[in-house]
Amino acid sequence: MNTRPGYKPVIAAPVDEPVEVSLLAKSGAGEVYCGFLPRQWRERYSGYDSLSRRQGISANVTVLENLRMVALEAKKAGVSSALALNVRYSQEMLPEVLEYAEVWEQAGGQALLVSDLGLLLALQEKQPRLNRFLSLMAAAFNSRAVGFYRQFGISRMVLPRSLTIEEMHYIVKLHEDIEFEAMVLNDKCPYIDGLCNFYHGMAFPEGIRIPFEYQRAASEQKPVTYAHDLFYAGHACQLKFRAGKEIINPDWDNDFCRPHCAACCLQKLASAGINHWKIGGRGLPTEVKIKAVKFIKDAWNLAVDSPEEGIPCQEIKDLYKDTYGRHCSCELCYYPEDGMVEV
Amino acid sequence: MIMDYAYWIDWQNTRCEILPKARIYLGEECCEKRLPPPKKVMYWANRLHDQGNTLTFITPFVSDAGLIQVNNILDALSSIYDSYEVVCNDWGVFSLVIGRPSCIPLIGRLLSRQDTDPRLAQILDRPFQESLERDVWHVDGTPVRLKYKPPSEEYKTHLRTPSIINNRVLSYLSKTGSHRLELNNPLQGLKLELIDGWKATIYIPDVIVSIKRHCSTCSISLGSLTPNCCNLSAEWIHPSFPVPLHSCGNALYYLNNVLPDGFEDMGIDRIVLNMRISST
Repeated sequence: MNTRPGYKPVIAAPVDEPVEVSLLAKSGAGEVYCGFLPRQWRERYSGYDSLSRRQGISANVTVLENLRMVALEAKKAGVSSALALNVRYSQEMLPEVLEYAEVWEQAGGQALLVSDLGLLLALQEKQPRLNRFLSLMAAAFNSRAVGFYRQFGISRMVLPRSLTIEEMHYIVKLHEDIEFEAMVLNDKCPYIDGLCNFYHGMAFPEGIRIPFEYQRAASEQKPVTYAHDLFYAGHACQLKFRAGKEIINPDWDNDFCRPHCAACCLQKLASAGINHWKIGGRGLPTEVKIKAVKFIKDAWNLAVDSPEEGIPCQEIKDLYKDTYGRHCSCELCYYPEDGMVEV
Repeated sequence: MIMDYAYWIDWQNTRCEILPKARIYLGEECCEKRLPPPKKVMYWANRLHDQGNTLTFITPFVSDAGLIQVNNILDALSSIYDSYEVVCNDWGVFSLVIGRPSCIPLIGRLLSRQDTDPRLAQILDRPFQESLERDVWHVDGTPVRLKYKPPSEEYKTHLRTPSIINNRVLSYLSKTGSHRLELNNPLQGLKLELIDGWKATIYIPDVIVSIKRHCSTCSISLGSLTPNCCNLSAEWIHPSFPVPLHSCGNALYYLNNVLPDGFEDMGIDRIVLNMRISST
């Protein structure tokens, strides 16, 4: 295990509002990341996942001033900050995407999470001071693919969640001079991020109150809200499909009260040289994000205090139970090949 | 423009008839475990070469172990063919292929980065969407009228254009000897503006929508994976989807037999007919 003096893994936590930055930093986050979805972009390209992989106003910073504030608050709190510009873009979109990157840089933001080759090439030309982190969405599954992306100035790679820790370790060994990050909590989708073309839209379920923007128009009796897809029923990973007589559920139980988790694997991730640990969950309530950061921090402390690798797994499972009120399970395990076994 | 038709055959079906001199696509794009073993590669390379067929070998996204496998396959093919195309669906494979003089790299469907969710076609259907306008409830308790907003021209272009079609990207890829993109034929249509020297291929009838982390068939077989165990195809139906999805191994796709409007003028000069779909 990587427990050399001074070794401290960095927990990367999601933020949607500037006010969350200091709260998450105090809880143990060493880095924050966010998405941005301003009105100007939503008007032209929808409020779906067209600027980052998260849709909607709840999971994104929506005002330029707030984006600047996230970067400033992160600086104040002494944590680093990354902006997710991690989906594919058409050529016409890129000037605007680059503008947002520039705003982020000028405000003191430190990194961009990217996956689009066109954006990487444009950033290579502009040479911003911003670090470039290769997002999960880039789908780099082997050491050669990482080598390919490195020519575009990548300083960190977020490893695809479909890899085993052994596969990750192999990649890390061949690219020791860049940083690596892996998912450790929330959002373990059944589809492979960079190879999934299902879009993330906005559903308006019958009879359920949800957040969205609306406006009052003189010509209308009621306030109005607009959407491109009024038939959208939900993310494909959450829908139940019928296959003959059977009901197929992609088996994604994305419940933030019982999150997908890699806490038992923190030791192995550290030993594999993966020192940045990402918590998913943009759009979740602040208190849930804080709980997540504390949980990972405490799980790591249990792992560090353990005299032997593998010993604290039961304690970490107990911590999960104490934190979330329910037992973890194999289906919730991020890296089941490397992590937990059935209790 | 002369249209070139190519045929993607099932490498496991050694009894299938091959049109002499036609371009044949062989290989796998979604699962490294389904790559043909070297013996089968040699069988097909010899047979196709003897019949005068040109060859395009399709490779999937791969782990580091899969890279070795792909390298061995390319060694085998290079012993028979002086020149052949390799469809790359992984930038690691791509970087392997561009170093091989006998290989012509093609940018595969998984690298072209297209939106292929079939529901996107419904966004463009104004009468359908307007028929769904209704009241919804905001979280603050306000009843609000939900109305359709037609997508802007820029958004339509985005939905129809693969992001690989970017002058910077294509210029960069040209330097590596690549000049062809392999594309899905999504329901919402295609809009391509290729730079000089580039051509595109579209696949009929299968459109890849997503790749699962685990292969449902393999999970059932509890690790006893063989290349034969992934050929089952189940139809997934959901009322919010305009077409059924087909689950095959770890991939989900739908079928679209209708060629996009004006495809001849967009630089598409090859159509790949996926013969494996009709045989499953």
